[in-house]
Amino acid sequence: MALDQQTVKSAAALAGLARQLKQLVDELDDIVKSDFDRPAGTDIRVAGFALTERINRIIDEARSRWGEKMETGRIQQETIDDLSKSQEEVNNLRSLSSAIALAQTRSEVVDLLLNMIRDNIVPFGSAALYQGSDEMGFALTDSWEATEEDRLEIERQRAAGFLDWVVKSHSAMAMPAEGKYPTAIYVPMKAGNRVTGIFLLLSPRAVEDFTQSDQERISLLCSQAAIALENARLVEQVLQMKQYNENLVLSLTSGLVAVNLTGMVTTLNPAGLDILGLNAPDIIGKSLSSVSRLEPLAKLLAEALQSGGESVKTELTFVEGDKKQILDVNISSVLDEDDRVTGVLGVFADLTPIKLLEQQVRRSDRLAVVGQLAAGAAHEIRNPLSAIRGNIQLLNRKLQKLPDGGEAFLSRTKSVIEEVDRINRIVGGMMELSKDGRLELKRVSFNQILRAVAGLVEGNYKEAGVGLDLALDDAIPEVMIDVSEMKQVILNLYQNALQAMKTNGKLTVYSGLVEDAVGASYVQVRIADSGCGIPKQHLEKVFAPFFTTKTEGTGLGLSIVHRIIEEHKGRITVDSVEGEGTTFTIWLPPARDEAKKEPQDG
Amino acid sequence: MEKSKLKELVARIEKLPTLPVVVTRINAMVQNPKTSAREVGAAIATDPSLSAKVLRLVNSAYFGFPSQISSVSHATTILGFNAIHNLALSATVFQLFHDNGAEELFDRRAFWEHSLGVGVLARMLAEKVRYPDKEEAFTAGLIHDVGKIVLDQFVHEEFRTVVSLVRQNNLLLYEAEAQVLGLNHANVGYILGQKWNLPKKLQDPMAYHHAPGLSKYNPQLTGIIHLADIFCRTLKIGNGGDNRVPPLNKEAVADFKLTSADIEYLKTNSEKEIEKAEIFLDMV
Ligand SMILES: Nc1ncnc2c1ncn2[C@@H]1O[C@H](COP(=O)(O)OP(=O)(O)O)[C@@H](O)[C@H]1O
Ligand SMILES: [Fe+2]
Ligand SMILES: [Fe+2]
Ligand SMILES: [Mg+2]
Repeated sequence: MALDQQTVKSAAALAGLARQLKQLVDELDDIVKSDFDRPAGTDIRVAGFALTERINRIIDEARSRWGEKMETGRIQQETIDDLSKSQEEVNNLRSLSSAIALAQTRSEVVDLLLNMIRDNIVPFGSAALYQGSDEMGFALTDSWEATEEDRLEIERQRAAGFLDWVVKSHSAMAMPAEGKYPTAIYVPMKAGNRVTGIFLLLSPRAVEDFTQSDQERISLLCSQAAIALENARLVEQVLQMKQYNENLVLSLTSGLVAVNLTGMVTTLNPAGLDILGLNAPDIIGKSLSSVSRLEPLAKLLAEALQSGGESVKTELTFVEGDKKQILDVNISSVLDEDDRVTGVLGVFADLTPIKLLEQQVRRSDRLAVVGQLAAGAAHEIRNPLSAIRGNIQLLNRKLQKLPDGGEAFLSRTKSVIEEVDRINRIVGGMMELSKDGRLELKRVSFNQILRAVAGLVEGNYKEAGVGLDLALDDAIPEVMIDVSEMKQVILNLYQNALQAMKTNGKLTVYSGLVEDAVGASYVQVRIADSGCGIPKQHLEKVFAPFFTTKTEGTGLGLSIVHRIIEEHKGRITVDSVEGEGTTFTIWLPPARDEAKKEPQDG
Repeated sequence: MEKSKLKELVARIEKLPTLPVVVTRINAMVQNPKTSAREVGAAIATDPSLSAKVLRLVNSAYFGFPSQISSVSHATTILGFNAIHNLALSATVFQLFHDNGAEELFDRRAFWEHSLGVGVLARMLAEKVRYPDKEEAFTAGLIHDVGKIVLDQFVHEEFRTVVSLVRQNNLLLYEAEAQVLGLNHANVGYILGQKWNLPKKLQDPMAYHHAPGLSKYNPQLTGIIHLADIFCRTLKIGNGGDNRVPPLNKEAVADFKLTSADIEYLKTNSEKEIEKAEIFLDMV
């Protein structure tokens, strides 16, 4: 069926119209594309025709859609570009944070961090670090390059509550600051979930110029630093703990020995080496039984190992030649974290001196009894002695009158007299020693005693060619003493000193007022000679009764001195350097004030 | 419901209002780490009413910042770029769904109180479980149920049936929705999130807050919203259109390791926090 004329015409017209429309639409599109910045709503003319309002609206709509697409497209393109840039930054950041992780100490970490932030993220003038925890609060621990003005701003920031805000929010922020810098940057340092510090940076960069990337990167670096700081702190702690343990072992006055499961010595502290008389290289890493003298200790430790580290407490005796050493030993096991025995540990102390002392004490107990007997006996001895002496002296005179002057016997009688005198001295000393300690106290200046006794021995000193110097402080307070007893003390000390010195020696006597550690005052007297000195091993014995190094000595002088000083509630000590001299020091409490007011009529 | 009807329903929902260009643009901008605070401020400034709202919010007790924040760009570096995006989104959603003039089938005030409550509790939970962005949690809570309003507005007659079914049988809203419409407000939330091109991490809580096990992109926040929703219903904070408490998916929240002390803390402090956030309700 053929189409009628009308239809054909209409179709042709329609096709023409379609062509025109297509042209129009293309043109519109061009306009939209090229004519972007034209204000909306202005009349658009296409091919010389003004378009209807409706078309105008369509165009505006199309344009805004275009605009939105372009805008979103632009943002997307930018985002893609920026993301690839940030990818670079992330890689960069990764190498930075691994560098932070390599820093060892707190100051290394912090310095590195500040440099990295400054070089890679944001410039800043001064910086402040607050450290602490959510629970304990945060305190300013460091600041860098802060001028007075910066310091004021840092304080203002804290006072305004911004620090607390960051502590609470756990996230980085940049905000306007006052003063020289426009911006304050806060960055929390997060180790895991905990905030361990807050960095405050004062920066010349405007707040508006900060990007998310800045905030994220700076947070990341700071948190990496927080972990590094935490590690540094832990390492420090462990080191300190180790040091502490080592110090403990080193400064222990007891000996400490540890052996491993094979019986090899792994630890022997200095005190232990000293007690056992060993050097570290001789014994560390070796078995104790390699030193035959120590066999008993080696055996004890071996037994403890076998029994699975059971604790033992015992006394051991080492014998070498005629020397004997007594140790107090405590054995316990060394356990690892899983409570398995990995060795045994011995803690020991040298009991030898204590044992000696014990012996001495036991002896002096006996002596006390002997002393009492002796005091009684002394009287009985003295009377016959003086009879003997008188008779011998008579005999002596008789001998001298013999024609040959009694030459053959004189030396014998002289020696008898000397020996009798010596017996007398000993008996006298024994009587002194066992005196019952009732003192006749008088208030005097100690200087008076020192001078009086010096007068007594002056002649002897001159004769021996030894000097005697009194360097006395006359301002010292008076003391309450038994004058004749105290004279004996000083006489003994002067005499011992003289006996210790050769020609050209010198004795110097000092007096003065001193204070002890707790602030109590004492009258102090020092008697210092330049004599032969006392060997170390004798120092603790000189006060013991009967200790003497002299052929003619009684060994009673200093023990009497000691007793008398103690009876006066004083103290006496001795310091000596062999070959250089000896100093005896006496402390006595000053007489109390109320004693002064005591009526003098008694 | 047959397929064609469902298609029609979806088609109708797709006619939903679009998000304002400015919000879409900010969304795109915060995806870019190189965007500066100045650019974000400038973008928001193109919508003066939005920038006024954002400034009011950032200076409110809700944030409690210790000093006045005078510009949106400052707010961006102080509160964070994402926080500003979320604020803009929240403010916009309120505006879009506020008062459509038609007859409302459920109490809008109570509905927004429920939404706000879920937002605030989500924010508190986010802090407790260290979810990295608590403002995002708030926004997710605020918008989790907008599907309900969409249904009320776009399939009004069908939704009337849904609401009466809920009242008669004491059903959960999403049960009744599924019975009557073949889809529920969470499905609508899914469609909406895609249409608005929301970040995936915000889409999931809207789509899966009643089935948190299904979340792929953001199970943690989805679990938070799931739990916050149940909290609010238990504590009777606002009303989302039904009166029952849906079952808790214990697996979804097991990782939170909440103690009874935490729960006690949330209970005693939520009221105070909600009060601070009420400025969002006043804004619409
Ligand atoms: N100033 C001194 N310098 C050196 N050694 C001294 C001094 N004073 C005391 N000694 C030593 O102390 C020992 C005991 O002294 P002492 O008790 O007075 O007894 P004695 O003088 O009879 O030996 C002396 O033998 C001597 O070894
Ligand atoms: Fe819901
Ligand atoms: Fe809900
Ligand atoms: Mg003597």
